[in-house]
Amino acid sequence: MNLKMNLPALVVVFPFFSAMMMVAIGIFNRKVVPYIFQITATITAYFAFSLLIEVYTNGPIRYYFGNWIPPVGIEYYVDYLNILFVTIIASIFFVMSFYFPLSVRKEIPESKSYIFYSVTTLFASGLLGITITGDMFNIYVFTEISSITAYALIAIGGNRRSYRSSFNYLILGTIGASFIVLGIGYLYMATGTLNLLDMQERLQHVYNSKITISAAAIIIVGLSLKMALFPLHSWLPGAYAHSPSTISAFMSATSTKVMAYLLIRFVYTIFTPNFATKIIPITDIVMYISLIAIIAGSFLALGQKDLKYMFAYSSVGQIGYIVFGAMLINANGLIGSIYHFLSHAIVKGGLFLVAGIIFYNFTNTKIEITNGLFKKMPFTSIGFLIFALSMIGIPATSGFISKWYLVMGAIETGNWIGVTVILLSSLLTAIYFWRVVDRIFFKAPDDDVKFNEPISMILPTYILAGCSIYFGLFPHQLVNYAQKAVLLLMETIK
Amino acid sequence: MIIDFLIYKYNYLATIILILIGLYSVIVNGNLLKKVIGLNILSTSVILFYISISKVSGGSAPIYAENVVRYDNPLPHVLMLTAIVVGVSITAVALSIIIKIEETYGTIEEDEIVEIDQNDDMVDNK
Amino acid sequence: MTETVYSLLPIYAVLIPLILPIPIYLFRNYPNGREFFSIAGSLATFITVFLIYTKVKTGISLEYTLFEFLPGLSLKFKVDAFGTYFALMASFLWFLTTFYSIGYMRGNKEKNQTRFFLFFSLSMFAAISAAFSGNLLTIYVFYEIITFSTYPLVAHKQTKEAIQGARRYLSYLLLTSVLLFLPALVYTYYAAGTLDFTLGGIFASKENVNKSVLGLMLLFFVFGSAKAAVMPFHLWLPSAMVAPTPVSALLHAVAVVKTGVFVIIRVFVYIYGLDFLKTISTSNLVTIFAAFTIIVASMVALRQDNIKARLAYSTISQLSYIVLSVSLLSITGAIGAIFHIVAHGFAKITLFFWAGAVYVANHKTKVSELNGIAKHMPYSMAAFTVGALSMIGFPPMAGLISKWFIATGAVEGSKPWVIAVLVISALLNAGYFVPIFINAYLKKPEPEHNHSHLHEAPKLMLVPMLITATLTIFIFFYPEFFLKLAKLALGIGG
Repeated sequence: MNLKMNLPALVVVFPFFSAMMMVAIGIFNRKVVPYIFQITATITAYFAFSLLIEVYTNGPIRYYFGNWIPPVGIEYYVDYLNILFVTIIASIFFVMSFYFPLSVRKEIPESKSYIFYSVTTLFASGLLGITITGDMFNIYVFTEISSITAYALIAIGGNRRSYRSSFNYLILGTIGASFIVLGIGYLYMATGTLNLLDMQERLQHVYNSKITISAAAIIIVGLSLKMALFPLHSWLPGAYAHSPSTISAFMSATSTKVMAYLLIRFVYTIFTPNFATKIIPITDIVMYISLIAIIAGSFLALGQKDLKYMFAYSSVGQIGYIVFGAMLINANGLIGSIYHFLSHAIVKGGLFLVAGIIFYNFTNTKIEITNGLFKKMPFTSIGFLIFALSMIGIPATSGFISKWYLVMGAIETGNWIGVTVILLSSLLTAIYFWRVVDRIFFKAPDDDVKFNEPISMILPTYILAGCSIYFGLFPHQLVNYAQKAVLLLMETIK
Repeated sequence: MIIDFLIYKYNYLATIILILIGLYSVIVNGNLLKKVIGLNILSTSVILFYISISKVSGGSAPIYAENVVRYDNPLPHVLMLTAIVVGVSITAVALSIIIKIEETYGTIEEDEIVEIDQNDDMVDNK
Repeated sequence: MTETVYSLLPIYAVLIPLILPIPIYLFRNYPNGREFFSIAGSLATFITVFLIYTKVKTGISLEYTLFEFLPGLSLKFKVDAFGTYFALMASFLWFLTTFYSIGYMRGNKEKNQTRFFLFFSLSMFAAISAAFSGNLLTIYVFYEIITFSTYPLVAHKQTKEAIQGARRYLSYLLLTSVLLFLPALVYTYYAAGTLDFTLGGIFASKENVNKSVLGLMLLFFVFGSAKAAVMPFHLWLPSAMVAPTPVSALLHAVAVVKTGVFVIIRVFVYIYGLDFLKTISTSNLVTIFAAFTIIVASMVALRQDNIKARLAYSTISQLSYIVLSVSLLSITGAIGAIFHIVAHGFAKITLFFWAGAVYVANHKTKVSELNGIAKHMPYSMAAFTVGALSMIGFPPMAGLISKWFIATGAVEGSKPWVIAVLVISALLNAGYFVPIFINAYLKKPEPEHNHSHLHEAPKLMLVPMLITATLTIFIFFYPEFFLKLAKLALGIGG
């Protein structure tokens, strides 16, 4: 009973303390740390799922830390929207935790591995914290927890490029975070509260104040930097391409998306669409930027010679989809956006896992080495094919559902440019993935060395591939959940 | 109007100027260390901003005492404690990465690093 | 009115080709076992479809909802007369082609035969599922599956040329279906609130529909269903001719391309409704595009020396007969369209069988190399003669009947100029088939070659060819079997 009541806190706090424990234990015994990591991931996922069930049966939860009632105390606010995100992050963390040990043994020096596990767990707890918290300053703190750990994790990548990428990300990420905290300061100045719902209430009276308007502008810029919205994306490709495989998989699945979640939170819950569309046209501006991002990301991905770089640039495009759907201010568009969050987390995470398996065998991920890969690593290749089809948005994969809703939302709002851009970029995606698919399946291999496909790496990849197909074939339940979340968000429009 | 702003609200002006100085030095300086310094200026300006919005006119320091009716808002001060910690840790991470860059590239000047990377790419493509 | 019955039969009919790849794969090292399963599977499918036919001909339609795909939109099978009609033809020809492809693949000593039969079966699964689809979304899903499952077949030879051809094939089909068909589909759903096939259309009862947008969407549907190869989206078909001939025969003369026109007829008759279309002016545009395609493709065919390319352009032209015929918006025209699916299917598969036989037996691929070949392959040439005469519209071949309907339909739809198109096209058809007759029957083989190696095709290839040729004549004398289904499909007679 007590456990149930404290679930919102446990989801974040448990991995947080577990991360501390890992260091403490790791100093004495490094061997156990991977197991602790595994257990942590499992329990966190369990908490997240129980919370999901709890929220969908009993409605949103407002959890007061130490029973201090807001606005004095800190609140964890779990509604239909962020519980989805929490569950996605926790489950991706769980699925990938199987993948970690082998990959880590390959890529991380033995003496540092326990710290690596610890920092990864801390990173995950930071992301979970961002999504679940209902307090503005808490958002900033968790953003920084996840960012600082991310800088460290990227730098662990081993070659000197990873140091440089990490440093780039550090500079831009810190600027972004400073903007966010500055914007939060403005909002605090205008309302005198840091609690989400409280602020929504009080902001309504100061919509026309210059403080609110500049707060909105500053926060949007900060978030765009953190989520790598084109043209503020320059940190992302290096960071994904040069970090350890496990980290690029986990980060690509979650970190920029969490910032997109924050964008939805800010636009819908805090500023409310009434402000964001009528007082200043933020949503329109960001929407058009996101369209440019979609096209630009796809074009940039076309020219890459390295798988990881290609995936990273494609992420730049895909984040555009999520933002576009959210900025339409339309129920179907928002459902598409939420669904794409899930779909892309699964698919891009999976693609980076595939890249990780290739790296495990070849110690690089250049596209030219994939010639005839199907003969050498059949399971990996088929996994890649499934993810590629999902990226393109072929029916019966999860990518199709999100595209369906995004197009639907765009048509409903009469945004035909958006329709064209989304579909055009599917084709670009098809082109740059098909380049690789052709190499893998239809080119003769350069030699016939058989390669090793460890089960502990294949299994998580296939779980994600299976999820992608499952959510492509049976999206019904999840769409219902998303609809519920969207209805709650759209209530503020009235 | 502008005069008023300059006289009574110069603290905001200072914040903006500091932010700009910070951004400028991050962008313009090729030396990675100087970029980190710029970053520090940037985060300090945010701290200044928070502290200045906590001031309540006529209020005293938020310490309980007799004869005091109005206090400044203590909350932003507390928040900034966290922000300072965050700033320090970012600086620490940044500096350690710079040390690593120095070890591997042999330089901390950005244009030289870019050149080294480009040469690597040329070798790769051959 | 037709009544609807819940039935599992359609599921069985599509499940057989879906699970057939498993035994095919398991027996990959035992060619005889593998081929046994191919034949047994195709026969079982045909029998199941025939069982369905015996029920459907009494005027009922079988329905099976797979599951709710999206809220308010399910994936479902609804087998009406039209679907049965198409599935019957496809599964019967699949059965014949299986024998033929065994002969072809063995005669040619092709590599990767297991992959070939595996994807062949998958393609047929998708084609039959498309035939049974109960709404536009389902048909779209299977339409895309056809595209992807035929890709390995087109790229089968894995030469540079084959991969390039396959890529063009994929990109044309994907470009049009994603960029044109999908938005039209989403818009239709948005405007009508349903995608179920209903005789008479789903817009008829709706008020306030934006007819100009719907008119544009009609064009989107016609060009988006690029498998029908209406110009200017026809170039994929000649590129797909790099595939082995059985693929060209069954898929690119029957299953794939006919799915394209099948979708178009579905859209015309069951989504828009013929009467409703009379108020939409773009249907005239469709007629003009189709007429243009008929003439121009025939003219291009005249200039092709490669046999398969000539046949491909002939297919393009013949497919547009069907599109043209349904766009006349008269019942007779629609009957002509439906009838021509079968008439052309049997005749064209005969011609492709012949082309494959010539290639396997004598390694000839050009019209100019056929001199005097009739002496060596008399049976094959007889089959060819039947097919070609049917194309031209000579009695007593099936082609004449559909032309008769189309001409009558043109008068009914008050577009008499269409008859002129038919006449010119018949002349052009004669123009590109007659040289083959002349070369094969009349010319003497060039003396410097040694002709002792010229011989008749293997029996496994010859027999299916003769059967389809016989049926082409048979249909002329007993068209009632198909006409009855066509009429049932359009809701007249029974």
